[in-house]
Amino acid sequence: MPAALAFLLRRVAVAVVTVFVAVSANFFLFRAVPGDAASVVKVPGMTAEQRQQIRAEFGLDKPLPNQYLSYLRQLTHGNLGISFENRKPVAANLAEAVVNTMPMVVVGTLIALVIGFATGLFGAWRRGTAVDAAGLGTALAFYAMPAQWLALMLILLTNGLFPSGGMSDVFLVDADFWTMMRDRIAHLLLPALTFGLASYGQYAVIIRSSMLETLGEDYVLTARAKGFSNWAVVRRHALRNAMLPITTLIALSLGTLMAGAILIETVFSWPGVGLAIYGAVRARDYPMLQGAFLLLTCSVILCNLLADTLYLRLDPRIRTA
Amino acid sequence: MSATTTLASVAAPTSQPTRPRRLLASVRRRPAAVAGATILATFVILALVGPLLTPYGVHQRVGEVYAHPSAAHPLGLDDAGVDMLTLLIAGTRVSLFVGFAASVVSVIVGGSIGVLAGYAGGWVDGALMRLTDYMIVVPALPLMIVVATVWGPSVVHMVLVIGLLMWTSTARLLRAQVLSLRERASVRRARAIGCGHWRIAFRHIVPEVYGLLGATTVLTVSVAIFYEAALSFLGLGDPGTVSWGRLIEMAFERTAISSGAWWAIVPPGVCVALVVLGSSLLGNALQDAANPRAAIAHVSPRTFRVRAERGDRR
Amino acid sequence: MTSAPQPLVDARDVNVWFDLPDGRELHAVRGADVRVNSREKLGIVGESGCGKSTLLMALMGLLPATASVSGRIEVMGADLLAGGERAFRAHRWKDLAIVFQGAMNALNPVIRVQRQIVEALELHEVASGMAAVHRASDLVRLVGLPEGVLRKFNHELSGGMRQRVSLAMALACDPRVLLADEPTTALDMMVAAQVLALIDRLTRELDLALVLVTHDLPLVTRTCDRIQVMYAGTVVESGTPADIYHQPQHPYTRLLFAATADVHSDGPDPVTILGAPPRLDQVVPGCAFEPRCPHSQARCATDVPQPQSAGKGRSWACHYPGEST
Repeated sequence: MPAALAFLLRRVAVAVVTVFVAVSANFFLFRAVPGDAASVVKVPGMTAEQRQQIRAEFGLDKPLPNQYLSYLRQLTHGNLGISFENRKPVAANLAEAVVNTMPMVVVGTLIALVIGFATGLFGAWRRGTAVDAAGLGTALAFYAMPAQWLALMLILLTNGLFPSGGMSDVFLVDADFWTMMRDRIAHLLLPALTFGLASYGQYAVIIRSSMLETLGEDYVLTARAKGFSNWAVVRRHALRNAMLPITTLIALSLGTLMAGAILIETVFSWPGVGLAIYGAVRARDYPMLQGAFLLLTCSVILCNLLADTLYLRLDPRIRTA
Repeated sequence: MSATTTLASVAAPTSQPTRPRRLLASVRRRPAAVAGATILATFVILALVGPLLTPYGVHQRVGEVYAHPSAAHPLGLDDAGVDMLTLLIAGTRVSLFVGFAASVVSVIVGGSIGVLAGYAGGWVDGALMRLTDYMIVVPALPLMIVVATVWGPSVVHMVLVIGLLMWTSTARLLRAQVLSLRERASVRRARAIGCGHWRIAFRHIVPEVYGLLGATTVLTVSVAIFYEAALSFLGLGDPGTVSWGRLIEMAFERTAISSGAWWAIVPPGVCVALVVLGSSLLGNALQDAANPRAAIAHVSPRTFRVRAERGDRR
Repeated sequence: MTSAPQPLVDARDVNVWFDLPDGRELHAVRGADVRVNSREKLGIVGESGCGKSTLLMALMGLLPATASVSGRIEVMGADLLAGGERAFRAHRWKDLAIVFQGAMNALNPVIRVQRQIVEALELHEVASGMAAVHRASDLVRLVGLPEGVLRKFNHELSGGMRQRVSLAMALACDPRVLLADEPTTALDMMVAAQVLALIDRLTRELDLALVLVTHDLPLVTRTCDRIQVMYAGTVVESGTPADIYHQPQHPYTRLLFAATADVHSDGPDPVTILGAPPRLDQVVPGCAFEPRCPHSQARCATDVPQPQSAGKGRSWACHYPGEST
């Protein structure tokens, strides 16, 4: 359909522009350092000569436009630079971190979605009742808790019942598959639970208000007039329409989820992107920080694009309008 | 007249541009708003009179490391033997200052951008909205981390970092409002008789949106305090000051957990959660009051009630 | 006009209140009677906010949870208020079907027209599978639309097409009574006339009873068998079009006629009824129309006029009926 294609192309164009802005912002943000990045690298007893060598190595002695162009050229080859800290390519460091972050974020998001949907839908259905108020209040309270603090509280409350550091037991070598699996899951439990609890509140609120809005739509009244039972009206007419705004909002919430991931991985020493950022901050490892930031921004942009595509499938109004 | 319009107007009389007194009255009717305002007021008072409440200093060693709570020290001592209550109160001042100051910065920036975009239109609008779109998708905390790392840790930097990155919703809100108001008769009349742009903005546009503006400001306070805690926790807070975020960081970095010193961990987080909850309750209620939505549900587990009594026919 | 022994719809002394957020109540319908016989066309007329749509919603049991109802609502002999939601549901669409106002989003925007017609057929076991699809295409042809409409979504239809689809949907399960709630608002004049003519023709051809709710008094005098004029939640006058047109008893009815510009006649210019209808969240001591009535007298402000029956469904509620304008 041409209308749908036009919509998608427009969205892709916006995404490309935004990625370009992000890439450029990323470059100039780090060049705004007083002096330059190399002068901040904290190596005790570094001589002026060594400093100059680092500047040359990272191309910091060239004029800004040249640096920018070479930065763009490097990016197109997937080169994000070399980490100050471990001297490995940033891209390789990040790739490893992303693989580690995924299970925590995915399981955590699933937990959040399940609790969020349950609270939101039930609250909208029983709106104004004590159950609604309690559910919404609990959701808001969890949402208000700093994720890093919630993580510490869960460690404190479970009192060593589950491992609270790293992804696996480093001493567990040559164990059979199931022991390894159990160990992995045990390590995943607290971080994922923290992630789920810290982020379900926003889903609950979004789902509740979207559902409330839909329940007031005229076509819902039509469906009741047709003789459908309450449950059938909700299932056939309200749920799907209420899902429309939710898909977009979930994609948009990804940015806030990143915050949770960084803080939670820091507490649990989970070797993902968040911990990589924390490490880069501590070590003032600019290339690493720059790379991680670019990665996160681009993944949010990509997710928004995906949400738009999904929206296109769900809402015929965009397909043909 | 349709069923829905009648019923909706019955269920929720839509209030036109909210005047201060009406807004206040409708906020006061919402228990969530009252609870939120009470929580916020309590903490503001605590921040103001705080130093009078405890005799100790924030660097003063008054007992042994991680001493249990006692009559003299109701929240115990921290890893350096400093009174936790004293630290918590000092943290209240810093955290609230960062929260409110960052919120003000963001409202000023967002308000100016939104009004300018809506009022100027054309390419100015286009460029500013592209910028806003970008700021919306960019993950806030990582960007704040980047900027804070580059600028170096200090309270002023913290306020600017948070404030300069949280203005998008204010900008969008004001722009939308300006666009809809620009064509209103009163504004057109004001323009026709030659009123200046600023005069029109402040006489005709700001009064129409201050309810929503207030709501966004309050909501931004909660977001700012949240980010203050996050940045401090990551070691980007001002090392010379005490804030709730720094207290959580200290509890994590030092041995509070392995020592079982819950009193060093629990209170700062509870404070952050309470203030964030309080301002989001108040902010959401203000938003609802300023922009009430039709409150009708066509399906609900309850149906209408049947009465035995007869009507007017006597 | 044949008179069935038992009316299809028989509602008596119906009152509807709505809870207001501030704890007060709004008395939207005040002791209204509605009787619809088989194949009869009833017109309910009144200004915006007079409670006529609310009355329709009450008949179908579709009022929200903020409402409360008293009186007696019988459909085909069954007491629905006593039977609750289940009793209402047993009659919805099979016996009572409704066409909502044109300005409403009565069709679900993300479901195709076909599915929305078929789901009603399947729910009431009128038809299923391919038979239901065939019936759906018969229905859209019946309302004068091409079959292709079945594949469309709401936003792809014009206002007139939407109302025709709504009508096709309402006719799907062969209801006994068709309720039409201002079916032509938001339509332009030509389309409105076509849709009304269609409703008029189909109710006759399909032997349906019709309840037409509108603010257009001349329209119902042309199309309906019986008319009820409502004001402030009360039925102030009822009778046949001839009664209402030639011998209007209530001053409000006369003003309604005078207020409607008839483009075809050379009669006097339309008159404006001064003032606004009363607020229904207040208790009125006397006749609700008293503040706007050109003939009001002392008694009107204190006593509520009771309906006076003149037999054969002719009645009015006025202390001084027939005072000339």
